[in-house]
Amino acid sequence: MKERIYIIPNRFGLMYGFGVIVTLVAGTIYSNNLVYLLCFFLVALFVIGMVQTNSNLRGIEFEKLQIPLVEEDSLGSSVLWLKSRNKEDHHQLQIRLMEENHEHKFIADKISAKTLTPIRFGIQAQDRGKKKLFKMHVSTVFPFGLFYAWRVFPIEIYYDVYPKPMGRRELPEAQMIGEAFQVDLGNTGDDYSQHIKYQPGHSQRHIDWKAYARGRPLLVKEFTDGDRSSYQISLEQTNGMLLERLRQMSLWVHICEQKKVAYSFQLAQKSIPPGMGLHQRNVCLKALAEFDGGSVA
Amino acid sequence: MGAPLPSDPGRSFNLVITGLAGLNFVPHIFDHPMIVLFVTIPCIVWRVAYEYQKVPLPGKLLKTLLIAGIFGFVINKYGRVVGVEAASALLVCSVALKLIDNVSYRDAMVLIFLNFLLLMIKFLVSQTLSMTLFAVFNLVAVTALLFQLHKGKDVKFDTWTLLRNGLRLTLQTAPLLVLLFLVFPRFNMGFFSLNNPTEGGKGFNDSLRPGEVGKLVVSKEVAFRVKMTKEIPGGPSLYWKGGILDLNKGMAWYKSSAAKREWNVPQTKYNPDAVVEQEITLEPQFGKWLFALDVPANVEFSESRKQRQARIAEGSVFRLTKSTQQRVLYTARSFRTPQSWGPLYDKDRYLGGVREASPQVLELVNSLKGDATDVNEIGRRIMSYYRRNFRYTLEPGALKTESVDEFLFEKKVGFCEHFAASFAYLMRVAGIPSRLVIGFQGGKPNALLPDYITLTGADAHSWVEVFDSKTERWLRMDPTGVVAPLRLELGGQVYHDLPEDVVQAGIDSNQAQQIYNSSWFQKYFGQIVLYGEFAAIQWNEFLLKYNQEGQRDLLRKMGLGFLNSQLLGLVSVLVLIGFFFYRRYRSQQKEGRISKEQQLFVKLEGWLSRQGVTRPASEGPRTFLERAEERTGNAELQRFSQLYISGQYSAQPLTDEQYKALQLCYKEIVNS
Repeated sequence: MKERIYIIPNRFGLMYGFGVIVTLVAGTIYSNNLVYLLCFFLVALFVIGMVQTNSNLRGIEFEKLQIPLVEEDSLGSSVLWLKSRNKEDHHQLQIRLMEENHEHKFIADKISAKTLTPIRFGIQAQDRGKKKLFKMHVSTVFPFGLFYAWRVFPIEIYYDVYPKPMGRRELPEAQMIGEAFQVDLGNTGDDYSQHIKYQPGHSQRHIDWKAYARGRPLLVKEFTDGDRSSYQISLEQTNGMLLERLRQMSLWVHICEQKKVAYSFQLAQKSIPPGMGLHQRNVCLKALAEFDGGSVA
Repeated sequence: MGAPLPSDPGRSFNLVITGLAGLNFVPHIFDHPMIVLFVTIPCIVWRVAYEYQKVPLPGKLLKTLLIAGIFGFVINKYGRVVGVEAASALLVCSVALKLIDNVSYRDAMVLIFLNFLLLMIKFLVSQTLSMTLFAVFNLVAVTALLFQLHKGKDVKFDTWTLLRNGLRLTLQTAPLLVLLFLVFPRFNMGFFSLNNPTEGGKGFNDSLRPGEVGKLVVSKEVAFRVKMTKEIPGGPSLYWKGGILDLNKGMAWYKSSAAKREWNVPQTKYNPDAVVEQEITLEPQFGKWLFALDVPANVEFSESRKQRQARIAEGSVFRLTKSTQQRVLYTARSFRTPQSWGPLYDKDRYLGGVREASPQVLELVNSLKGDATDVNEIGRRIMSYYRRNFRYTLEPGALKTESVDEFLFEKKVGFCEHFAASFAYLMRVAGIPSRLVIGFQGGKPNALLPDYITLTGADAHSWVEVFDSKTERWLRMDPTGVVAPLRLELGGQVYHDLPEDVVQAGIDSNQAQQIYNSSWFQKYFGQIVLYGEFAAIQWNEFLLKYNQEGQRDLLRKMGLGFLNSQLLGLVSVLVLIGFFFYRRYRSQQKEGRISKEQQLFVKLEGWLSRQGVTRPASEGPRTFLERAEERTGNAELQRFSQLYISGQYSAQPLTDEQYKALQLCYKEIVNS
């Protein structure tokens, strides 16, 4: 609970200090009060700099850190919420979030006094897995760059990095699913994406009779949300190294989401029934992120 | 340490700091005209062009060449790289070169620091009020820029906010600044001083050739200011003696090696009624001579180091052995009446240089002298010749030969030094020992400060001293007084401001003064100049008088007379430490207002962390206590959690009983 702020002069502070000493020596040698005044102004500025650098970190509280599912090797837009109890705004805070072997750096330009401020930043994900952030390091050189002050917040925040979607684009074989399930998915409407010319073999139910009545040739509506079938995404359908296989699965999840088709998901013991949408996607990708190889590897 | 650096400054920042550096070069223009012209201005232009992407910055080779070239130039010009002049030249150059060196954050910081040093080095040679005001503006701007640099590139960059921030920060420094200034112990660093052997650019040297005083007269720079402790003597008698010249070569006068001999200043105590006391603040550019009202008796410095450097020489003139280019303050005492202070050391020396006088000059002197033997009478007769035949002008044109004949019989126009030089020559031809005196005559009193007189270059003057063998005294004679009496009555500052046709129209001094007062400059700016001068005097006094003695005086007035320098140093350090603790205490008081139950929670948190259960900042109290309960298996923790959360997050604060229960609960947890 107690705020422990560390502060030391940085190299510019030392350079400045040297300048102050030179000025003081000059003032003393020449008994020059104007030089003394300048020197003491510099000293006072130094002290004010120290006090303000210190208070720039004072009264900051960690509130919350929101990190979405992040794709391997890419940026995930995240939000850090910091609360200020200070009467003054905080400026130019350098924030470092530490995880094992890696850290995330970004700058918070301003945290307003006595408010909760969201700081948006991109978290740079490295490799796949469940990651733990264990420390937040906040530092500043504001307002004069003469002192470097820092504070450490112990935190415990987890986030998931799912495998990069890579591999074959063809989806594994589809299975028809029951009418009841289809209703749940809500793909009975007229939201087709385009007409294609009728060819023998096309379902007659998809022929656009209204267009035919207007004198156009026989056209078939092609529905984006597709067939009344669901794809089965499972580790067994992939081959290669574990990461490659997980990446393949990740790709399939993405393709299914793009095509708005339902998919079920099977990863070792984890089995997710057919479905689609953001929730389905997140559950699957999270499973891919956190999968430890287990019996498969 | 790996501390992250703020981002590089943007263009508007760079342009402002370049402008500020440019502004900072302005006071150095007169000290280092060549450098300002050929180094700083090109560098500023280069940098601005770079900012608008017209040119690239110079490469390493060119930069090395520039640095080497500048070093060479400075060493060539000043003979060394230490000392104020050389150091300031180097500093000006380095700021200029830094402008075209690089444009990163680091360079901006270095540039800002160099700006501070640039001010410091200027203070060593100039401590005027205008310089101080310039510096205050400069410091506000530099501080604002320093602040802006760390506020981030994207923050709005407008002049008004910038200045307001700078002003706010500068004002914040005021309490500490004043405290430090008052208590920081002043030392006399007599054992170690860097003095500049080169003379200041203006003022007098140990010689006088026709036209030299004229150059001084056109400058309006203040030479010295005088505070009279008693009454101010009337106009024409305000002769401020600086030095004497005894070696004659036609119209040019020099100092002989004999006249250069010097002695320490004897500290004789004079009867206060017999002497006039003056407190003189001498500007640094007027060299080593210590001026005093004629006839000088002695000079006294409050600083013992300065007193040791003071010397008296033949003719009762004073000077400092070293010029530190600092403004100096001293007390001079002058005899009210001519004294037997000038025994004739060497008659031949004071009669020399006239052996080759032309027949024309000999004839003139003989005809003027006639049968007179009295020094005063001979002087009066020669002066009447001057009144009849010469005209005063500041622009007489150069003398071709520097011979007395040319001036006396051809030119016949000139100003004080022409008249004095030729008059002293004629007196020597007449067989009367004479010498040339240079110094100032006149001075302008300040209506707001009636005790003060200010002398500027316009008051520079030269006159003659002749030896009266009857009384064994040197007497002052001033031929300018008969050629242009208004010059002496009005003083140089007023006289030289009036048009030449006005002063030669035969008006008296009152009329001339009226004409002067009704000029447009005096009408509109007279008051401003007056107040400016008033402020300058006050500022000088403050700066000069707050030395070791001034500090002791102040302490004595505050009843702290027992503090010496070492003790004062100790006390000031203690005061500083006290100040820190006070601030710390205040800030802790401000932020440390947490409720009683919060304090208890903090204690519990500490105890739990010692048990191995730490709370990350991301965890709330309830989850933390739940986790702790799981880990330790202590059921009291749950009760504590309930009590704590109900007190902390409900509208009503805990009652005393509830708090006691919480306290009890805490004790049980800790003791279990």
